[in-house]
Amino acid sequence: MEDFKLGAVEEQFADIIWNNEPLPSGTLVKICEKELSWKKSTTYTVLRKLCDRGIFKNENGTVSSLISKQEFNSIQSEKFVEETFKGSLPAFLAAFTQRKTLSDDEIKEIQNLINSMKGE
Amino acid sequence: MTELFIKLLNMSITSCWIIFAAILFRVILKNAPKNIRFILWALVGIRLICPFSFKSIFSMIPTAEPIPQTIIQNPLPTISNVIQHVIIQPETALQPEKTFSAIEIVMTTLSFIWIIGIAVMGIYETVSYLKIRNKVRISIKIKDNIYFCDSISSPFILGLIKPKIYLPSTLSEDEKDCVIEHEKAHLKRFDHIWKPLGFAILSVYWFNPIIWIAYVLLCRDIELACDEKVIKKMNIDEKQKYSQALLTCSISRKTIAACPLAFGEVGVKNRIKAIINYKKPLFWVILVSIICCIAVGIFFATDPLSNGETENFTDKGNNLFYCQTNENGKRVLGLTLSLNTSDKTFSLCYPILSSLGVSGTYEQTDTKIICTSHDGNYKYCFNILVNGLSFSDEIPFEHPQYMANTNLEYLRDGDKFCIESQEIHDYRCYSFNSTAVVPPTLRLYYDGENDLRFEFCYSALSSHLPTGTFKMRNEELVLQTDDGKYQYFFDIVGIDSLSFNAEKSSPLPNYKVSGKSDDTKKPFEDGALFVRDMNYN
Repeated sequence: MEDFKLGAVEEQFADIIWNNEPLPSGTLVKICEKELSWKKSTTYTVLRKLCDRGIFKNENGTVSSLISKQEFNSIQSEKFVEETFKGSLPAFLAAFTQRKTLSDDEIKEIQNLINSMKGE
Repeated sequence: MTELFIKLLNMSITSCWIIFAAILFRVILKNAPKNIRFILWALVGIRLICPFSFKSIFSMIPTAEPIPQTIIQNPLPTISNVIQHVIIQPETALQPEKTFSAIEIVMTTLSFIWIIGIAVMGIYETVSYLKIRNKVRISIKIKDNIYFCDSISSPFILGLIKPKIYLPSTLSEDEKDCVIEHEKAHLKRFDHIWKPLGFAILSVYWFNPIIWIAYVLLCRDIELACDEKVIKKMNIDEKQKYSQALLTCSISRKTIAACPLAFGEVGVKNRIKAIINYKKPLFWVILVSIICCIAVGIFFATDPLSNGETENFTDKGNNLFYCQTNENGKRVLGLTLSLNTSDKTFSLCYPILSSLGVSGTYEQTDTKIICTSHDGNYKYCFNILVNGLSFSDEIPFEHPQYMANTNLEYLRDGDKFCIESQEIHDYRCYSFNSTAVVPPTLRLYYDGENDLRFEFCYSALSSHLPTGTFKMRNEELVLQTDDGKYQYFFDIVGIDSLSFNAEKSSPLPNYKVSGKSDDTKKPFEDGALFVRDMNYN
């Protein structure tokens, strides 16, 4: 379960990969050096960690993702609703809207979403 | 190294007084600005670092040297004498010259253990530092010297020269702001240097539990002072946010990490209480605190003037002086012996002319001191007693050559020497306290070759200045002019005084007192006291 949580630092790193994949690991190192001031060893360490968790892979010197960013985020939200609201999405929405009311646009969007899901 | 250890042992004991004072102050003046506490700890630190200190009559410390260095060098091995009867040292039986007192062995062992303790502290510190540094490699710079890190659970500062602030990435925005303010305040106060410095001092003095207490309190007071600095200019809302952040960060606790300044570790309850109760301190509180600080500095950071010398044991640097005494320990006119314990030299000197004598090196065993002159011609043997020495005629006493004319009976077997508290000065010039502008003086000296010579200026009006040689007999000084015509006798009445014996001496001329021709008198009478002139050289 912990595997699918990313700390703020890891997330920045993951974003670099998601935005530039597939990319040679050497390039990744260079980018990390430029944007994060990381040494080569640091980059490889973090990369290895995330590969172990099954989010990315490093094959033949090329880094690519096993899970896309969108997929990752949906897994995150699933887990969140599961943990906090016992998997009940309505409960989540109720809690969410307790503090903020939904705008008309948002209502429309959700409605459309529900309609498209009904169809499947 | 053992000496260093003993010195540090002493320093740590004397610093305990100022630590107690600091603790007392913390209890009494709770509402004083926390910076004052920090200054008190700084005084403690200075006391522990500086090997020397000002001496002042205000010092309230009992003694600056509770454990004398000479405990291992004592040529009067009173303690070890007793212990050596109990502890058998077989290896030293074969080497009679080299003996170690049992105390010396104990102290040396303790100082080895001390060094090992320092090493352990140092290793612990290095390992912790490296572990943390490893963790924060994976961090991202936010701005200036502030970094985010996933794998740490509470914020801290790392680094001495270019300190960096590391924050856990899980902090909320509000928490982040408060923490950054707090850590920045630490940096402004240079706490990132004081705390490791305190730990370094602790590593050296690890054997003293009171210093551990001081260190823990120092850490707490650093945090309190830092909090104060931050919330001084905060309103009630900001204060609440700050307390909240403090609480949140403290939930994930670690053990005392000596190096980094962590936000949530230290005495959280007290800190929150301090924040809530913070009021700008009244002027008089500040004033009293400063006065207390200065008082503590004077009373406890200075050494007492005298070092609690005992009667039987005096030490001026490494020189010891012994004077010949009778059986009752009362000083008599006789030889003096001075020993320099650091370079093992001795000097055996004659009365009156203590610049003359025999000098050389000596060796000390448990029971004896054996002196050998530099030229190897003379040897003297003394038995070591509880509070002095006694001459042993197992090596017969010989006068040096220029003293051969004397019939002094100095140094018979068993003659006692007791330790003296004052260095013996040269006796060279004796003067009679008269009303004359130039008082009568007697100068005694050694001409460097064979003779003891004198110059007797009995009156400034005299054109005749008797000079010649002199001899010392038991308690009598006999002067003989070179032409053989005149003799003068003085009784040696005291350590530094002579009494003119007019009956035995050649007559002194009369001198006019005033204009009247028949009003004359001698420059001084029988029994006139000539006293050593201290200023002469």
